[in-house]
Amino acid sequence: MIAALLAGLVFFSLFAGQLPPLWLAVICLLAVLSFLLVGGHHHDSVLTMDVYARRSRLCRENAALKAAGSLALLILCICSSSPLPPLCLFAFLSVVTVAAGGIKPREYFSLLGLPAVFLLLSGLTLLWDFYQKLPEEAVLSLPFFGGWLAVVPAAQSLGMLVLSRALGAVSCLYFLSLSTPLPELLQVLRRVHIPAIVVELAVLIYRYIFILLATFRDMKDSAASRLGYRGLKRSLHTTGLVYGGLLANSFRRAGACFDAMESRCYTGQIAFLTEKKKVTAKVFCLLVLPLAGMLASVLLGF
Amino acid sequence: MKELLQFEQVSYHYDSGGEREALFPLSVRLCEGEKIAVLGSNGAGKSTFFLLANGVLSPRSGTIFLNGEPVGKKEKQRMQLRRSVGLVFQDPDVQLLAGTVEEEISFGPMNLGLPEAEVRRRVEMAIDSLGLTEYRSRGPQYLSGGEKRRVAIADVLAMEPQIMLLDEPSSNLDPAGRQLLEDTLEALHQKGMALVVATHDVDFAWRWADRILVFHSGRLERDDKPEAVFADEELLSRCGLEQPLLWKVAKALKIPVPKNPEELADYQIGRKTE
Repeated sequence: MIAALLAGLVFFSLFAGQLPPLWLAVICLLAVLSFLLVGGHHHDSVLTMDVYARRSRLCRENAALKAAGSLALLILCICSSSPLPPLCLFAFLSVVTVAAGGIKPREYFSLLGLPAVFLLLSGLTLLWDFYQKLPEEAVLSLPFFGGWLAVVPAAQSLGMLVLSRALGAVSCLYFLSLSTPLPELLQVLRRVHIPAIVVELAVLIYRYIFILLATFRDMKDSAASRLGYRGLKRSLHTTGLVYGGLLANSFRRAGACFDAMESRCYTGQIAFLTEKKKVTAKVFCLLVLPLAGMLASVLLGF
Repeated sequence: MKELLQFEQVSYHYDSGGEREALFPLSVRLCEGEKIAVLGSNGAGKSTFFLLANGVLSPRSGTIFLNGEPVGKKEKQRMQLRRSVGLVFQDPDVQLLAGTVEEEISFGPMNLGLPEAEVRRRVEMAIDSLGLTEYRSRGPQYLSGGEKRRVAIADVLAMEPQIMLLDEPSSNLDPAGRQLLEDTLEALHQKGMALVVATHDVDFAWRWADRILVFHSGRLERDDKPEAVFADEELLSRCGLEQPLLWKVAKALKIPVPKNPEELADYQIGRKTE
């Protein structure tokens, strides 16, 4: 609900003075409605993404290629000097993730809601600025503690550029993380000689997120079933107890897990047998197309 | 029968006093192809026994012999113990590590430093033996309790140990999962692997084991055939155990104790026709 209002406000500030009032109203309404429609997302972000990635049809493709492609697209997207190419990239990659990957559109947009709030908030601060004297070119203004909060056209075009770049970048990262399970990404990191200790820490963290989350959920549920969250004061107290218990539990777990690894002859190097995934023409085309487009747009300075 | 593992006056205690139990001097021999059940109440010393046998802990005093050779305290020698004695932990979640079942099972063989083709062969063998083919590219963390348990057993099986220790493998399993587990144990036994199962389930111990170790407060109280262990009511009540259901039934009916319900039915029919 708040996100929807925020979206309306940002779109209004973005296009005020540049579009006829009717169009402006339509765009703002569309923004609010789209947020209201896909809103109410309830997911455990990290885990949901991993589940979607495993389900995606693009999961069978070579992870290194996907990672390299998205990284290149990400860099080109940030280098872009006008809002149009990143927006096209966003549209293209969203279609790829949804259509080629088989993620449901609703799920995809619901996941976008998460970074969208951050984007909108930062967009708001980019657009509105504080002035002692009202600038002549201001398209929107509000009196504020003896000065003015105003939106000027320069801020509008900057906001537009930053927001579109950010949106393009998010779509690159979503393309990667919604088509590649985390363990495969870690394998890629290992191949490009990221220090073993970093990768192994990531492997362990990935694994134990699940255990910690499950433990946390169990503890919270059991506290709730004993009315531990009745009233603000008691809620705070219970939350503290749950986190404390979680810490104690984690230590005990860590000991047990280390024993289990040692019992399988662990000597300080985590290694798994990995299935090699071939580079296919399909994913190659899917990546080369936007790469060529983005490269051309950056070089030609669109 | 060839002797695989021997404990000679082995003892252990935890420095912290901790939640885990100490073990008083213990002498025991495990031989090829045996089916041994380890009984005892919580905190009786079963888990410590397992961790010592697997080389995760090293004894405070006494010696462990593997295939007749004493195992020293050096890391390399303990590694030999871990190689030959596999341990399946009670909670599969502490054991599972990787992103897919296949990778997970490869962790042990990779640690053994085997060539890739051999690792692949062992992983395939373990997947086949435990019927995990359809789960091979799934994430182990998303599997159900019984499936996780099978993956945990496959983990250890892929290391091709001579003895497999299982710590309460039937806890948290539904009846179907338990049946599947027993079938799995039978298949492993057919392969000639020595199996040691810690359990609270006396019915299972009676049905399955051909030797029972009873632990109580860190001591090995009894090492005997199931018939002898369950006949000793004083021992059972002292160690917080009970007789299997079939024993109680047989006692009530005043008949010899059958090994399974089918035998009981045969006996009843025999008696009626007399």
